[in-house]
Amino acid sequence: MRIILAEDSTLLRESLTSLLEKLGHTVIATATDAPGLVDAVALAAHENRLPDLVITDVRMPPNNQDDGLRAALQIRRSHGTVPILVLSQYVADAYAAQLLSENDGAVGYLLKDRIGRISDFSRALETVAAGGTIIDPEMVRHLLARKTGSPIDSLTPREREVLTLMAEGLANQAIASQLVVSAAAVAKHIGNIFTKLDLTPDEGHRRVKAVLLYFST
Amino acid sequence: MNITVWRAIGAKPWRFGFSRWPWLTLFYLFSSAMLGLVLLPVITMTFVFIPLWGLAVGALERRRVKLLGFARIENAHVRVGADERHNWLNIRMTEAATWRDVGGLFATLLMGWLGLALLVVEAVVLAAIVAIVASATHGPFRMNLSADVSVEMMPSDIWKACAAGLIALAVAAYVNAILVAGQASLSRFLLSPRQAELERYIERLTRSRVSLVEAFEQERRRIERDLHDGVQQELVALSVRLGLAEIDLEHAARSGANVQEARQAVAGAHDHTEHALRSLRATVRGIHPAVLTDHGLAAALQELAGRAGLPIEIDATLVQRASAASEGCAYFTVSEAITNAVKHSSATAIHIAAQTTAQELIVTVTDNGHGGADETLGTGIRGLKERAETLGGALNIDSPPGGPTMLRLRLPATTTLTAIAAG
Repeated sequence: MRIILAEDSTLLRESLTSLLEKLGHTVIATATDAPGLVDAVALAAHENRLPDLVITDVRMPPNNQDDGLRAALQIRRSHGTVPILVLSQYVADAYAAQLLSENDGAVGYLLKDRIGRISDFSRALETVAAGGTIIDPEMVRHLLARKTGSPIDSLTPREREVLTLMAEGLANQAIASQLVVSAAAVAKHIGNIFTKLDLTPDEGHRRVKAVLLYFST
Repeated sequence: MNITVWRAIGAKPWRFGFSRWPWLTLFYLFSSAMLGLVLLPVITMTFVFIPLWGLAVGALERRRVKLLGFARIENAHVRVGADERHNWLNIRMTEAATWRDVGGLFATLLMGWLGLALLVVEAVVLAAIVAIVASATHGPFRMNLSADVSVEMMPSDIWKACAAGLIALAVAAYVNAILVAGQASLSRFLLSPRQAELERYIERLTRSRVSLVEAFEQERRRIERDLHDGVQQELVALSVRLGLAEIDLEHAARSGANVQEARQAVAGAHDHTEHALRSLRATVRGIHPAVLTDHGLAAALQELAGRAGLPIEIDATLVQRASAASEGCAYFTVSEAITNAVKHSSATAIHIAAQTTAQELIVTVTDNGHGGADETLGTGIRGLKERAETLGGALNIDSPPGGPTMLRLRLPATTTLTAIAAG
């Protein structure tokens, strides 16, 4: 994959670059702040070679707030569905909600802690690049704990587990092996989730929508 | 109301003469003289402690003026509570009143020696008159006062000496009274609290308290930023390196090397790193939640609710951004309220309402627990109450036995110093 990476910490930028290269990807540009990221993507777009994935830190200069996230939203608005993986230093629904509410897939929100689990991280990269949605498991736990009075309440504990794993971007087979149940059982749970959340088959991206429902209620 | 020495001096001479005032003023003068006598060597030997002597003598002089019919002089110093006793000297040294006390000390010294001199002169004069009268009763008497001045007396002239004695007594009584009255008035001038000074002091204190709270808030944010941008990035980088090492070991294992132990060691280190990252995140959240800075109170309260472990309903649709100090205070108050509700009143649900008006940020936290919370308990709540009051707000807790407990926090939306001063 051709990747543009934005991270203000030199240490982490270099670690990530070497990690991504070890995983067989190419880092075509790095940026140290939010405007730098927007410029890098614009330059790539100008050469008609949009990256396959943009990875950005949430907190970056110039304001050291959620500049990275704002840059991501700006990129999506200017260049269409560029897959974006946002790395954050902390769990914050507000950030994720901002990112996910405007987009339909090809986004990810992960805590930086996860990068070290390289196989998981690598899978997250592939999922987002392929148009999937990834939300950090800790975020999902947090959201499930918070939401009351929404259709999510009607889910059984097992269905919640399945939904959590869906949010992490796992396919049915992977969910089945993680929960040690059959793929058919997982499919049944997912069907129940869709029914309870009132998602009809013709809506497309049902998996993504189920996950996004946390944020809309 | 007592009559003061000045009124007594102004009264008719015979009334003054036969009142207690001549004796009282004599005693006062005598005590001043003794004080002067003792203080001079003491101060000369221990001049580095002059401010302390000033304080001690100031305290004495404030009480001593009561002898002369004045009200006790109010203490001009700020009170130092039991918990700040270790700072007593620092506080005293920065007060203007302390240095006026030192001025008072020198006044006492000067007046003491002046009094001593006066007493000596008076004693000599009176002794001379008494001696003359006593000698003259035995016959004609001649006394050489100096080489060419002499007093000659006949027994028939005794009444003249007696009259001179009486006049000398009256003069002494008035001189004494005027001197001590002057001293007392000087003490009152130097040792009284200054209203304007107190007001300035209070204003300065209020300002410094508010800027302290704001500085704390800034400091917390700085620490949070440092931890996130420093240690956390290092730990993430470490975790990445460990992850890469795991991959390398896996490759090595595939090519047949025995790396079982190394893999276990690296996996253990990796787990530890992740644990460190988790606890670091929890610590940083306790210092200052980043989301509060970036997205305001409503978003930060949502975060808080998500970690609470019991259903929390939040009504924060009318919350605008407030000052960082007020937002921080509100956030940590709600956080403490949730903790208390869970820990002490076995609540199973909590309702939080927050709204901002033009001037105020108002937050209420209501739980369905058994109530009976005592706000004097929990140092956490007490500290937050103080923090709210410092910012010019208030924190009230209503918790009847049986519940529900309702906590109401009111804070200024902007904590500019002018708003505090006006409030």
